[in-house]
Amino acid sequence: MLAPNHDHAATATIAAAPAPAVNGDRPVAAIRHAYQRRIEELREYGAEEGVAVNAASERDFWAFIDTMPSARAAGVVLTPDGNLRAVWDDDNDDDSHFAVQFLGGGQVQYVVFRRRPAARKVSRAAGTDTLSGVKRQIDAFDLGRLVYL
Amino acid sequence: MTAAAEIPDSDNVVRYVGQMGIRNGKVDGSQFCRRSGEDGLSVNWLECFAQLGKSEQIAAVRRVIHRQLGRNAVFAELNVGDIRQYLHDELPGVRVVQKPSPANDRFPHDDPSHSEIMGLPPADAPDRALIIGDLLAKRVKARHPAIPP
Repeated sequence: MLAPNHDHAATATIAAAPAPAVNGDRPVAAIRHAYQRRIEELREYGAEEGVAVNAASERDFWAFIDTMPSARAAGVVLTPDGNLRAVWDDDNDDDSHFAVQFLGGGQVQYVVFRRRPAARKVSRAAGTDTLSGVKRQIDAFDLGRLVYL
Repeated sequence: MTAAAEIPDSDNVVRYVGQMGIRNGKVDGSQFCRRSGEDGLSVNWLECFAQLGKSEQIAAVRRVIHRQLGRNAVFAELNVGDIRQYLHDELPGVRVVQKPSPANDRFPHDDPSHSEIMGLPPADAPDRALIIGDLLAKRVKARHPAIPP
């Protein structure tokens, strides 16, 4: 893992994105439905490129999402290896994002880009972690306002 | 056909990206990671077709590229000098070289525009490769439909 720049005292400045609402559903249910639709789309798009969704990756995606009921909707893509990758970013802050690729077997690869307030350089880190361990990275990098509702 | 000619900083390349790698209109960094067995990241050099305007250059790439084009796939455009400058701190040796693809059984025409971004992290260094992939994705200056509307 590349060394993160831990600065827990920093004030998060990532703007809050609006929670999606579909047909009056609670945001959590609406986000889950949106993920289901998105994964079906990715199955079709992947088939066009000769890439199948890795079933173990999909299982881990849902296991992760189910333990994150207060998370915002992430953008989800299918990697060339067939893994699902969820990305939380902010249109108002192009320098910060949190991406989690589900490798299967309870393992993930994460990437963090984070601009600290008043810092000129963007902190960047990546590593492999467990499904539960990667949630600790959200706190370590002070990404709560990017990831959570 | 000559090989490995370095492409000048003023020129532009496009990377084919299937719809599975696009989220909320943005190209995901996972599409810019070198895979195992690849020397470099495949792109197509637009100014290889020097006598043409941009839209004709894209049309020429559509004709010569050695791959099946997917519905809603895009060509993500990057400037060579911008890539080198933006990645300089992380990868000072990155360069973009022309590597023409000769005709074969499946694609019975040459692709003189085929090129590769060299010096990117290998697939067995996934943490670094993912960071560089996400950095490259932030430098996409335009997206062109792989199949014209």
